[in-house]
Amino acid sequence: MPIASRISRLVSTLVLPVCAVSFSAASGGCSGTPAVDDRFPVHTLYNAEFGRARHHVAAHLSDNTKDRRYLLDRARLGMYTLADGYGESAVHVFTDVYDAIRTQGVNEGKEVVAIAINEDLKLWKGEPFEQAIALAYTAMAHAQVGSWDNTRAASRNALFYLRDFGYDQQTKERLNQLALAQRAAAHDRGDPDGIDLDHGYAVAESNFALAYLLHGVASQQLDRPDEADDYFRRALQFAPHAEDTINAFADGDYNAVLVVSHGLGPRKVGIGPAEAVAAFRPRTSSDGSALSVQLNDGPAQRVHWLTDVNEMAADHLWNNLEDVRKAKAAIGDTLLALGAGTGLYAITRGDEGSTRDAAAAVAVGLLLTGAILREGAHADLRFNDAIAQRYYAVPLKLPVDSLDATPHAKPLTVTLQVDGRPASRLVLRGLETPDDRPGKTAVFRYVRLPARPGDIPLPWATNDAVFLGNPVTGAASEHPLPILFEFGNDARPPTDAALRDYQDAGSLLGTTLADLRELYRQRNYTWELEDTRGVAGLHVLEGGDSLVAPMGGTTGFQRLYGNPRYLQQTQPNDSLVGAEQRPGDNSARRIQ
Amino acid sequence: MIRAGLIALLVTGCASAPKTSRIDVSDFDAMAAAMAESLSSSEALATRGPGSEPWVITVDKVTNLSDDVMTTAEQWSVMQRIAGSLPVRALRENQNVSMVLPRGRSDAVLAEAEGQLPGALRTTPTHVLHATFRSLERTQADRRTDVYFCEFELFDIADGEPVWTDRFEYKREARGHIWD
Repeated sequence: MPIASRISRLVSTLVLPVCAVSFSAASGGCSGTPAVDDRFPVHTLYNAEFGRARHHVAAHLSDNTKDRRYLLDRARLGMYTLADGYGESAVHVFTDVYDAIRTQGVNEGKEVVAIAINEDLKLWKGEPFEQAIALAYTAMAHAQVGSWDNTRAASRNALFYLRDFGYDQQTKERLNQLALAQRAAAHDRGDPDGIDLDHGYAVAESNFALAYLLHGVASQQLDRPDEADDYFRRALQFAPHAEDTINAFADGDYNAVLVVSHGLGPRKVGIGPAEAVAAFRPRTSSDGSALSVQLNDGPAQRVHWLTDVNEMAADHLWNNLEDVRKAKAAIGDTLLALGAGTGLYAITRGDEGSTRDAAAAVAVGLLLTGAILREGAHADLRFNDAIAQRYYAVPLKLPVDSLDATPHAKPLTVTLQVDGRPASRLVLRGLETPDDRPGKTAVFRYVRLPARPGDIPLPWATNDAVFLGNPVTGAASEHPLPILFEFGNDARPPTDAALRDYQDAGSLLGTTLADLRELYRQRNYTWELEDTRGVAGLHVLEGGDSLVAPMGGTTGFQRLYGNPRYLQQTQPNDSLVGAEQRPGDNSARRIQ
Repeated sequence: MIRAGLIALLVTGCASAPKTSRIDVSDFDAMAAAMAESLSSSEALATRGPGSEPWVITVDKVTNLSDDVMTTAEQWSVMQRIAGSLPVRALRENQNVSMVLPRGRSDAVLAEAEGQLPGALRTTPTHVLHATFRSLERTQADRRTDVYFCEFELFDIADGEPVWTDRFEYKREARGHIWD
């Protein structure tokens, strides 16, 4: 039989089925587990619409701990929830996140699956930096509800040891993931300059400055000054550019702490042969800009960043799965080459029937295995897209009684903006401060700034007023009326205090609290976290059914109550408000 | 089909149970039982009888200085377990000792603790029971061990003197890569 004919026959009998299997694997392999959440509207992050972001993630959340996205989606939900100002809800979510991260070896025994089929068939636990940041968010969620002992514990867990493979001897630069993979392959070939990924590293202390600082603050709040100093020293060691800020924390002359984040964390991509090595590419560039912080009309202080996630993600210290990916790519390529060689042998020895058949069978096996391995060699590209690009920490000394937001008072404002990024500007309102009693600890808020590019801030982000009544600053008008009603301007849940305010203003006279609550229930509104399994739903003002309010001094608070657009959304309902009970002045008044 | 079969074979064939070195409910149960027994048989209470001057012990939630996160509910549940244990409940009749929760907390737990915290919920306390959790952690690449030290102290509010102390220790170990 001519060579050409034998090749054609071999292709049709051996290679095509392999390609079919390969194609089948490629087309169907990951359809149930997208690398990223393609449905997620990124503009919600640009516009700091964290209510919609968390609502989107919550809608697709699985309760199955064996679900491959169980941890990933919970971490995302927790981060958006905290960014939206819901401390208690975030604690609830991060309790699951913490438990999942602290469970070791969840993918034990699945290494073969990962190599043979695909890395993203494993349960997602994230790269080490994603785990450390999720634990830092756990710490921040607890700080936001005043649970500093748990802040201390969670931040301690975020400071786990790392594996350091050092520098390239020639370039004197940190070894990147691709170089590491190549050096690992060299080691497998017996090259003395290769790197043994299992044993060729030094154990390194974490350089996660934000976690050190959080631990220091928590220790300070728990009256453990020596421990606090130790952690502040280490924060300074890894973030010397933030010396002024860290020293201000160490001095302890503050009663409020803001951790401010900005930008979008890096995206995970596959690079190298078969895209087998994972690398992170910036979505928001690292520019080293300081954060400008202004208290009321006072002078602006400038705060330098503590943690740059682009830097973390690019350092092999914070990555760990490249050995498996490289092994898969190398094995897959080798087997494909062997299979092709064996097939050629079968073709050229076509006159020796038994030998030819045996060689052909081996070729089938090698090609099939090689194709499957090659197919699965690509890196797991799932990543936590809720992580921000940079984190700042701000110590504030707020005046006592800053929460006084009566119409005649001058409420406290904190204005934040990243230098050179005007669109990140955000004014915080409703930030409470502790009184001076002994034992009282600092107030903590996590604030995520808008990430939109350009020079124009979001209108609501810079408004100088609270337009709607809320549980933090109270009524926003001398004539408060629930948002259930036409011209309603009060988004407080139905409580005794709220009803008293309505009635003092001449509205809802004769209405009992039970009546008011029943009216809310008829709309399917909720106002207790217990009604929604501990996690607040989308707020009524944004089209949801929850009246649970974000905490004061957060992005969510400003977006909901500092937005006059929501005053226009109230719906007519005259069932309880008679004409004679209508307030004389239905226009909401701004708190100046 | 081939792919699905291969996945099923590999997944089911190799999976093993994950582990954690976190505190869990069984630790709370064992700890509460041991501490309740220790307190009820302590020297501080040995000379007391039904006619002794009443003791009203208030409890506070655990102070967590361990390296493990404990939810607020968990921090309270340890103390509630002690207060609701049989040896401690028996102290009321035999030694005129009542254990109560602070006012803020008692309202929250009254419903769920029905029958377990008899009487004296709002009585002025004479003593206070504190608990502090600490831990030591040892980590290797594929193993983590946490040793927990749980110290319990009963103070006389009048003079601040401790009248009983004890500690409960336990170790939990988890195998498997921490990052995996």
